[in-house]
Amino acid sequence: MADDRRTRFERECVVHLDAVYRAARRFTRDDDAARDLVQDTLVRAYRAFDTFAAGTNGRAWLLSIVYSVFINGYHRQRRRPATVSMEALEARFADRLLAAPDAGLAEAWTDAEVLAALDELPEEFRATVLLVDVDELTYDEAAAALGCAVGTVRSRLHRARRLLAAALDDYARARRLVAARKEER
Amino acid sequence: MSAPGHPTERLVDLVDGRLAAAEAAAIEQHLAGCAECRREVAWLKAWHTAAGVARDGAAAPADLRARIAAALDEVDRAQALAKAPAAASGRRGWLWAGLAAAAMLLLYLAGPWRPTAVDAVEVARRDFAAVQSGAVALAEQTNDPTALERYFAAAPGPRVRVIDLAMMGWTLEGGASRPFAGQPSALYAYRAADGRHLVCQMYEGQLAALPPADAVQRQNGFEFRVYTRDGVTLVFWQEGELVCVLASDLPAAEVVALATAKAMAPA
Repeated sequence: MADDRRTRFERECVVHLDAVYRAARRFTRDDDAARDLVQDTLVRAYRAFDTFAAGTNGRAWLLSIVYSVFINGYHRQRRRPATVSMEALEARFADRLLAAPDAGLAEAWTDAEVLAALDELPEEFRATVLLVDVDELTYDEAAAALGCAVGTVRSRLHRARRLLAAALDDYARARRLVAARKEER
Repeated sequence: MSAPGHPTERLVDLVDGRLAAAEAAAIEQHLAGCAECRREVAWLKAWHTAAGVARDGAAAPADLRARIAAALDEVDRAQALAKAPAAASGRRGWLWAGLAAAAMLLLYLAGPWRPTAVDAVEVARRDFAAVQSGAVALAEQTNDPTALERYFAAAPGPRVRVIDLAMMGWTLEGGASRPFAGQPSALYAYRAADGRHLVCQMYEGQLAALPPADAVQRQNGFEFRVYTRDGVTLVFWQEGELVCVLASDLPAAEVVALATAKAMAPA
């Protein structure tokens, strides 16, 4: 019986280990912490596996456990430096958002800039963007993982995405300005 | 984020292709005549291009796979051991069971200790109302979950995990060890910016002792029993030997969502 259960768990859940590992790395930003988080997640999932509905989305189920364990344990122990509030970020980019983004600007963003912009977001906004835009959960799955209503997911996505684009736009402009000054010299 | 007269709330759905054709067409029509919403959509789409960057293709390292296989083996072994003594104990097990039953019967007949059919749902509802009205003093007033866990470790009643909900906009106010249906419980309260309360309470017991629920939801390996009494939603679930309750006057779906996200099997 135990072997049976283990085989089913491996087929339905362990198969998503890479996705769990990537999500854990993004949440913790630390490889050692990510490994601990992955192990903790898989062990908790295995203990609770009897209630997992076969055939449903095992990846979404595991990601919701990753997030829950992260928020309740790892995040608390390794608290990130406090981010600024969403309202303060919105105020910072309010003027920029009144104009349309420059065409072709998105292609100019570097990987490091994208990751840095994500890091600036308050945790609940960052987690929503990671789960929906990066891990590609549905709004319903993300709402279940985050413990909020679907409308909250939608509103967080809206606020976070426009802010991320505006922040990246700022980076790109600053970079162009530096390049132009170097040419002047 | 919603401006009157603008379909702001639906713009992310439009960008993500989540709208039915008719609604998408109606919003596209609005966009044709609204520069403000067109600009919002342009910003949302700009991020879409960048989001791909964060989607790395890293694979779990081989040593992590091995570590997880070993951890799952350990769970299998522990579960096999947990089952073994019951099967092997044979007659001695029956003897202990008989003594335990006799002791329970004596306790039952002894009077003051006799368990009464306490409605735990009603007790939890009253406790929530008492926190809300300020009738319950929180003996330990702190917004630090770890400090509160230390308080509960020293207080009568169960040793509990205090959930950090600061990122969801809930400020921890503090907690108290509090009698609950004749036994000590750990109760702690949060407050939102709008003054609403969320109360978490834990006591040793079994879900089976609760009255029939208004709704039952199964998720992440837990059974959540949902009750609504006098505008308060109470969600009960079991974590090991403890029954946990989350109570609030928030919309029921939000209380359930908080409970399902925060329930955690004992490590």
